[in-house]
Amino acid sequence: MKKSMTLMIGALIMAGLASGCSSNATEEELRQLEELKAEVASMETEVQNLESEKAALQKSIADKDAELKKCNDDKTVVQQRLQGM
Amino acid sequence: MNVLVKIGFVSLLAMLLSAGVLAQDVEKEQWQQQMNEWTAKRNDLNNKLTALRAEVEALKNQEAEKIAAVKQCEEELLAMVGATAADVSAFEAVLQKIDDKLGELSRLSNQDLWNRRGELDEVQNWIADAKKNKLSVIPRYYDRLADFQTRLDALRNTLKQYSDSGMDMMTYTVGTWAKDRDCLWNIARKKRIYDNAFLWPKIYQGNRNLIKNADVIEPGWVLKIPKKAPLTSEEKSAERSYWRNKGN
Repeated sequence: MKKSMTLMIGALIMAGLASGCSSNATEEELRQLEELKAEVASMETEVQNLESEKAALQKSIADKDAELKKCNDDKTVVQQRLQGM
Repeated sequence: MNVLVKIGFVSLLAMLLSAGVLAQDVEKEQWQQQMNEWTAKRNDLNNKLTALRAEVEALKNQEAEKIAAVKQCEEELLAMVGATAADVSAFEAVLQKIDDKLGELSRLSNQDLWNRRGELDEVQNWIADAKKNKLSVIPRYYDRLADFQTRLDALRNTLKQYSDSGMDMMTYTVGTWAKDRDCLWNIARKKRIYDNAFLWPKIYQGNRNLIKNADVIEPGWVLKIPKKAPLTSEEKSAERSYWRNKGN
């Protein structure tokens, strides 16, 4: 009887140590980590959108440059044709 | 004492279970490591976003400047020929009309094109009028008009080939004597054929594969009607031969 008592007390102490000494993250901390991950995911999406917008703007600017060049060339041609009339 | 042992076992079991559940969770140290990694990632993205937003804003301004420059250039171009935006709209409508008509004519069969060949001259006049417009010196319109002329010339070429092949020949389906009084003489006399009965040998000679005897034509025959013109020597010869046989 004394032996089983000792065994039980020992087990209780071990269990107490096992549960009390492991430093796990709290619910609040886990939530904080999840929020951070979500924030990063959202930012990655925003980066992708901005990259797309940037590429579209660069293309549009290149198109406008070509249009402007064509227009200036047209002006030269028109000038020549009007002089030739 | 027995009760105490039981309580002890139950407590032990509860603690072991709770320890097992917690073992599935993230340990503090691991959590901290992840927090550090994700925070660094967020900071990098934040910097990247700030830079990207600035770049996009600068590009938007640049685009707006380019649009304004193109607009100004277009206005200067129109000013050079003394045209307004309204003139441009009206001119473009004329060009569209020519484009549509050429498209319509080019989709016709050769026979239908032949029947509507007069419309080619009409289109030619539209092109000529458009070329008189001051806007026609602007390259995009100048080139478009040149393209119209090329398309029109191609249609004319198609018609010429069709005409040269003799496929443009008009046809006439013979009716009955009782109802239509159709004979070569009467057919040639019809206004829409030759309006001249004496040209009947043209029909005779042009359809010798069908007509063996000029006095006999069958209802339902589709006769080719050669173009109106004076009788050729062959046609005159065929006519003489007919009268000779008639006299015998």
